[in-house]
Amino acid sequence: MPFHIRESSPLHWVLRIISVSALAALAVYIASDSAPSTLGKITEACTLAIAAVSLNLLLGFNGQISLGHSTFVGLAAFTAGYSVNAWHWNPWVSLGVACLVCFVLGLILGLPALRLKGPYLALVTLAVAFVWPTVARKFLDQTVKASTLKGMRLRPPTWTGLSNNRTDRALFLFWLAIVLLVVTYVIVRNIRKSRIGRSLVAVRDNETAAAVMGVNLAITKTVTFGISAALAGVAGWLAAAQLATLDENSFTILSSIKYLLALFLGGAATLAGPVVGAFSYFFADDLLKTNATKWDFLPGPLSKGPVASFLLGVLVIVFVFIAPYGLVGFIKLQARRVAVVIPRPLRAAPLATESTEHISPAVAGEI
Amino acid sequence: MSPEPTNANGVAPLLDVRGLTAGYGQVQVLQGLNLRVAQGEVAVILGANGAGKTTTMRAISGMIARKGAITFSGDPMAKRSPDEIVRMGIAQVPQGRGTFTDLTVEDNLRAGAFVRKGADIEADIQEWFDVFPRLRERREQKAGSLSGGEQQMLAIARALMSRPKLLLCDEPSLGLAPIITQELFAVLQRLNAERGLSILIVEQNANLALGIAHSVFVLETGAIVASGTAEEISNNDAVRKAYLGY
Repeated sequence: MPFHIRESSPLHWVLRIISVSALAALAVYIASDSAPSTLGKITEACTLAIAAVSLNLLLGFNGQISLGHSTFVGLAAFTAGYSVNAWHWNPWVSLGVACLVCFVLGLILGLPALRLKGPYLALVTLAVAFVWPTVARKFLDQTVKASTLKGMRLRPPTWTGLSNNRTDRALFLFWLAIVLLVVTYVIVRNIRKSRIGRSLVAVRDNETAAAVMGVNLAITKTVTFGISAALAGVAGWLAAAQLATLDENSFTILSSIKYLLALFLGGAATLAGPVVGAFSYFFADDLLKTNATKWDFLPGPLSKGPVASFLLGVLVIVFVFIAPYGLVGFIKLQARRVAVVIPRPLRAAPLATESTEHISPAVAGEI
Repeated sequence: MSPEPTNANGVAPLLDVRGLTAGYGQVQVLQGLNLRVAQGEVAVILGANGAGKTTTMRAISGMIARKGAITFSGDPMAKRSPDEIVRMGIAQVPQGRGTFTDLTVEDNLRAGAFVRKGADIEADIQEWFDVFPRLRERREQKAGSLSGGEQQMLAIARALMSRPKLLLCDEPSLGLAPIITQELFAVLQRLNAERGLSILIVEQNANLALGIAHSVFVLETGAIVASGTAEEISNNDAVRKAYLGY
């Protein structure tokens, strides 16, 4: 018999506070006791997580597939790298501009998405993801006349007390990545829990029903595309801050596939899913890349050569069978055996003055 | 100006559709359809598969391009968008299990109040939970886990959350067991009788539909071929043969 917890009861709040503090404590512990390279990896994982969270808003909650998110990430990274290096913009301003540029491109891409669904939308966004590296290459050839664009160097602001050496910059980027991830997560969470969020899911589940309820399909879908693209822009800006050089091959269709993988591994259409998925994917990949070459117990040809991607592929396939609803879905299912959260009762209605007009409940009661 | 169109009783109709044509792409489905729904009545459109029932519904709620004159409470609405039409007071229960399967029952109702704002939304949810107690029991469940009948009830309750003056029901009996369908029609009848809600139903289940209808329209290949009171239509030989089977 599972343990019952009332929603919003003191116990529920204590449990929530404990879990959030535990995560915060973990971040502090990692920050205090890690090499710059480890911090760099976590920053990279956060970038992946932000991209996955942005894709979740579009695909998970609104049901529109995009294989073109690598383009938004790349566009934001290039916008940031170029504006900071060539025009000497303030990097923080470039964050805003990069998101805005992505928002506009997202809106534009959202227009064909109004008429296209499923595989056809996937195809159009796939085309965008394919075109992007070529466009970026042309841009590099014609403007910087180099094979790469410099990333931007963020100096830790003085109030942080961090200096501008490698260790401190890594630490600063680590915290910045955490903050940006939290902000992105909170934005998506708040959208999902609002009236607009319900309309997003409504459009995904049943377009006709959503439309006859008064949801404007065209606006909902294009604006969601735009917001998702803008959030992907945050990931791109963070990538520009972390990478020394940007070239067109950093943001190909493979990155888009990675975002999709992270999203589905963690659990699409759940709030925590893309974050959990991104971290799991990133560190599983990292672990295999560092260690798999040393595993001489692997049979035959597997003990030689690059087996990491192969093993990761196998892991993903196995995982899809074990946890079809992603890690978060799997964990929720297991947790339900231990504890169940009882929803809070409906807010009390004002005294019904027209109660005599009520239809007798017995009519519908048996259905 | 031409005189206000009136029905037999001399009352301006709530919904007045004249010469409605609509279709998909090159295919014209509705060929100049005329119908009227008076304030406070249950009107039924009887039609076989492919007659244009769903298209009529979609044309009225603005989901597809249409031509013709449609007025609601005297206001022209043939050029309005679906969300404007909902705000005017027309709610539709779409065909099939038109619920949002991944939202909870309660959130489905909240979503139904999309065009409204304010605290009385919660009160309305309570009210519909009183009318449909089974929905209250399941309020935190995802709508997709409900039975077909429960989902149809939820779809009706959700449509009513926008506080419509006219409720459109697109084949409510589709895919439901006969006993459930009967109860569903009983609910619709009560909504009409006790709250004065005007209802337009498209159906091919003539027996049940005629049982609660005040006026009936028979739809064939995109046009109304017969109309009248439920009694008149029940006595019409052609209709009896085609829809009632005797």
